[in-house]
Amino acid sequence: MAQTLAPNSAAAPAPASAPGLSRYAGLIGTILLVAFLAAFPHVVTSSYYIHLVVVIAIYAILILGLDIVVGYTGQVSLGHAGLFGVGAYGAAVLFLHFKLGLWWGILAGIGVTSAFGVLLAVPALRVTGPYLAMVTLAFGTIVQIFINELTPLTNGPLGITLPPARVLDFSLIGMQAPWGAAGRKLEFYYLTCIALLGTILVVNRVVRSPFGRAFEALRDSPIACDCMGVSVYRYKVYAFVISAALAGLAGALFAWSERYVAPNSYGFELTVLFLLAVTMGGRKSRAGPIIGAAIIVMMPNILADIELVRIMAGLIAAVALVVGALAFLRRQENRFAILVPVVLCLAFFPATLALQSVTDFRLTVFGLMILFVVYYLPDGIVGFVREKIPALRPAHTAEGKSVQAAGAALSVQSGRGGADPLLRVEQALMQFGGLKALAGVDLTVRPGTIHGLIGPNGSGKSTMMNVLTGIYKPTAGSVTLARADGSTRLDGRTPSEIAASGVARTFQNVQLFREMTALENVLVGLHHSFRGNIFDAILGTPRRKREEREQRARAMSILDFVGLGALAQVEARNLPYGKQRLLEIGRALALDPVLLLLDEPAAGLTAPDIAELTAIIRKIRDAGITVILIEHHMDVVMGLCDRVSVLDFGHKIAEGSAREVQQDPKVVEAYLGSPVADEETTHA
Amino acid sequence: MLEVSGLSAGYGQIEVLHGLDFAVPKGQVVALIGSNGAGKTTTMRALSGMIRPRAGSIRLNGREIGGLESYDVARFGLAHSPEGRRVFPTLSVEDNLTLGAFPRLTGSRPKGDVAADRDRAFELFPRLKERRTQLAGTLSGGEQQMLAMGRALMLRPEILLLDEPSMGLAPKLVEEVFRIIRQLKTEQVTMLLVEQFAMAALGVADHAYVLENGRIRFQGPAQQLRNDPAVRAAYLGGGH
Amino acid sequence: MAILLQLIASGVAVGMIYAAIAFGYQLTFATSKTLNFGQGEALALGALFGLTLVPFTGYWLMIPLVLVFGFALGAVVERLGVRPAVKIKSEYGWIMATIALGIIFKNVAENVWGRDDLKFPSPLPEEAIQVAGIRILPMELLIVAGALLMMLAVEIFNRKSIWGKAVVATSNDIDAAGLMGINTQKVITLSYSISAMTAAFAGVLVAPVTLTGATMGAVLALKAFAVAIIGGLESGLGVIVGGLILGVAETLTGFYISTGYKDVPGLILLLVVLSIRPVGLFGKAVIKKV
Repeated sequence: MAQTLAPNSAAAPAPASAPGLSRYAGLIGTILLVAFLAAFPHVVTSSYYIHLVVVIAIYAILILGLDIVVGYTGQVSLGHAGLFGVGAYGAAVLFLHFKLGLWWGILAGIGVTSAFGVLLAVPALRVTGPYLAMVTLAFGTIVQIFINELTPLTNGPLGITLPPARVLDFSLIGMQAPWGAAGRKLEFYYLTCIALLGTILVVNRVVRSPFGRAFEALRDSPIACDCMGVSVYRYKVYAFVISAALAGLAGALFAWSERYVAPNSYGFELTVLFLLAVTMGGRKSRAGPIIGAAIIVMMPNILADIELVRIMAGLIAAVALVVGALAFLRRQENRFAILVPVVLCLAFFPATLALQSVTDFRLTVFGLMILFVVYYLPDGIVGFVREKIPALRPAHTAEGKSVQAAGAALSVQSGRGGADPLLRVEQALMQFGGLKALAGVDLTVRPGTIHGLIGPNGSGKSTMMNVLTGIYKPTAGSVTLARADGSTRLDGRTPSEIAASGVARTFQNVQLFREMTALENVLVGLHHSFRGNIFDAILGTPRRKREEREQRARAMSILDFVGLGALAQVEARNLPYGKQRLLEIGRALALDPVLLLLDEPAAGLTAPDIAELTAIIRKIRDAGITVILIEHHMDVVMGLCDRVSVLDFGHKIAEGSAREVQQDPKVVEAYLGSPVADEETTHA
Repeated sequence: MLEVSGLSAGYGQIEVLHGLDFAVPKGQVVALIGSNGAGKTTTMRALSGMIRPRAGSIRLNGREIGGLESYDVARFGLAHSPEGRRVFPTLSVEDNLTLGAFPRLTGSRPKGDVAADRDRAFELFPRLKERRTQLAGTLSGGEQQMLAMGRALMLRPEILLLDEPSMGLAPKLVEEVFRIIRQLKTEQVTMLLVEQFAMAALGVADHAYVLENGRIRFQGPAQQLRNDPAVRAAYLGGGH
Repeated sequence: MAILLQLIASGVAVGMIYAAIAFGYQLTFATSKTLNFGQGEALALGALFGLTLVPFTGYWLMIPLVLVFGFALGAVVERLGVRPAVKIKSEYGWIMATIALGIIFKNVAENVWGRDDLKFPSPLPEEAIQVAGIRILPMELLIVAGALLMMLAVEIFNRKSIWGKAVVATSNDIDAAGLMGINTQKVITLSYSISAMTAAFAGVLVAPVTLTGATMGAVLALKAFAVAIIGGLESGLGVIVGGLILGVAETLTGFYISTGYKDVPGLILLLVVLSIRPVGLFGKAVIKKV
């Protein structure tokens, strides 16, 4: 079973979005949001509603951070309420013991929670899926217990009460507040709004940076990620820490907003609400978390008003009837499947008429909402809207449209002495229990050549590939790579390290980053050339902007080289199969490798695709990059390879030029098998 | 007995088989050979319901079975000894055999005498009899292959699909496996045999089809194909 | 010394409850690579349902009815929460769906039985008896016996009956099981039914010695997951060992440190084990296939 959170929209090719509008959609949205937030307290003066908006903004900050873990790295986190609690208590405890106010609280909230984020990342590093969910749940539960028990520090179950927050202290500079007493009351509101806008900016910058791409890459294919030199562990920690920092900011603001913290507010129920918000709003977006936050904050208020509930139930029933009827008439197959949700929606209405109050069933409503979202709205409201209105697709995917290719596609490897081998494998032994997948194989590959590795099924070819790229540590033997600065041993090193040494690969089963565009896939391969750090990304420094521009141009030229220039903005999962294989090669080339390992690149390709592939591999060799090719298509092997090694049952049984190997009787027997001894005499 | 026409199938976006036509007459052994990646195992999987065909029809004794779930296909009498054997490692040899008769024991196929059939399997595979209570995961490769075949036979199938029985086996064991296949042939068991190693398959089959890139390149009586250079070209390139 | 033995004895009883719940996780994970995040609610519902029945049937006759109830509940969870998500290959889907069902069940339970914790009448005398110098509650003995018996019963089912073997076969290799003519979809539903049944049974076992209410299952289920992890999600014996380790660690912590921290060792153990050995202590390492 595929194990990502990838929303399973059908693989429809992305229609060309109108670049003009979508580029500005985000900007327009932000301006509208700013205008709304600025004007709101002057239009609606009730402090109750102003407080509501503050809570929505605070939740939105946390959920934007949660989206990084859930939407981008694709993991379920059941511990974010715990991080929220850490942030809140960080601020509250600072006040309780040191009488420090809001700003110190915010700093403490961010700092302490980030540290907890690192702590949480440690057990989360090597696990995924349900295991990771349980790890985060355990973490959240432990946090609650400790908050409850460490009474001297946290005041235990009694909680901590805080005075009204002092946002700006004008008396320090001997002034009166320029906006009068009424304005003073709104200082916290505006602070929260600024925090929200800041969060949107930071998250935007992070997800469009190499960090964001790394997060998505580790969701889509952790193995390919490691093999492209992007360490899965490192970026998982980054994702958790950034997410935790935002949760801490939200928590600190929440503590000062509610002016009371207690242990049991930060439990499982809240964490599930956060997940509902991020899923229902829409993952991988900025608007989604805000919409989700608004829903989960306002829902209890709506549910408390039975008249309102009845009206909404009636509306839902009416909409469900119409949508259901349309769908029923239009669909060809599986028509009755649509009846289930429609009937449920219709039944909801009379149920609300019968009940006097649904507050007690609040959680049931949330549970039903989760089920509804999981099955019928997996991309959330934002995802649904984006699908219907292409102009609202994320702007950054259109950015590349105007990118011109620049810079050499391949970094030409200066010719080495042709005699010295580039790669030397000595007596490689790979044993799995009793099975010897490789039984002591020697392999020497000369620089600037295309070296073929062939053999029947189970002969050890893929095992050799995995040993060379560090996915398996060989039981015995050595792998040595000759570089400009001396030789280096590859066996025993991690895939990231080997990738950094200049060895790149493609995979037998395509391991692209499916939800990212072709351009972004290549950009992940170019990760090694990014020198900036997280603060460059967040602050949008000139260095960051310059690097991004240069690398996009380089990525475009690589795409042009493999013939995918026109498809740069298409998501990898929507590319035709032949193009996907070429994209994998392009991504591998982005590593500036000295050695390129291709694992059955022609598998499943049609004849014209194979011709294109062969031409590209030749051009790669001509640029001085050495190629090792595993392939079953004999014609491809014969046409391309300078030298061929043949494996059978983990042993090397022949080596030589392609023609020599093709005639070798041992090789013929390995492939066709020998005639099995008959009991009766056989005819000639 | 088994008639396949226009079969196309694949995985995800990749189409591996492009319109295959072949047949397995009752009581005969038909071989499907070709180099790795040609589509042999994909064909087996489409027949036994492990993957869904994209086009074409598969008829077993006149009944259309294309697109059914594998547990329904087994009910109609198609037994598949899969690539890699895939015995149940934490169950005993005896339990593995018993499970082969699952549809008979749960009413989907005529029951017959399951215990007698199990004894028959032990006669056919004496090595398994010695190890009847041993866990299947501890058997050697060759023993697992025999268990997989015996398990498939427990269905009392109309047709037996053997997927790469020689894979990973030392030559001596390959001989033994093919000896058993020859014996089954004398008992009129209808078989479709997929093999990477052409020579062994051609030695036991009546008729053979050579698969290349998802299409049938040529076919003919197995005896004839044994010395045909076109077969070798299909594996090692050059020559067409 | 006597106190230590006492604590260990209590720990064993608690541990067997964890093992019984964890057993259910293993079963569904083995056949379908999924598990029920609402397992705790199945336990709570079993206990509450049993509580309602006891005045009419007495404790012992109530048990088979609760088993049937749990069996049906499991099928519902599988049908509504798991099957649709597996069909669209969404891991996030079944995690969130089983969580959602758990929340719904808990909320319904709160409304039907109220939010307060209730007292479950004990079928056995509530005074401690002396066994080899240690004071043990008779109910604790019943818990250990009941949990072991139940796990034994399922094991016998797996070994002797053809459907049990089909369950094991599906856990070993779901594709090959299908080739045998085994309806693997039915097997998965069956494994969820058995899993919820064992949780419900654990509920009526543990209810007399603790407070019964809609929330009784949540933390139990999380710690049972720790036990399942420690035992390895594929190994049978491991859960008993894991359960015992956890149960005893908890009672010792509760006494020597503080009752508030009682739940912590299990959770920390979970985090530590997963940091070091992601497949659990008894799990098999998986060879990566690329």
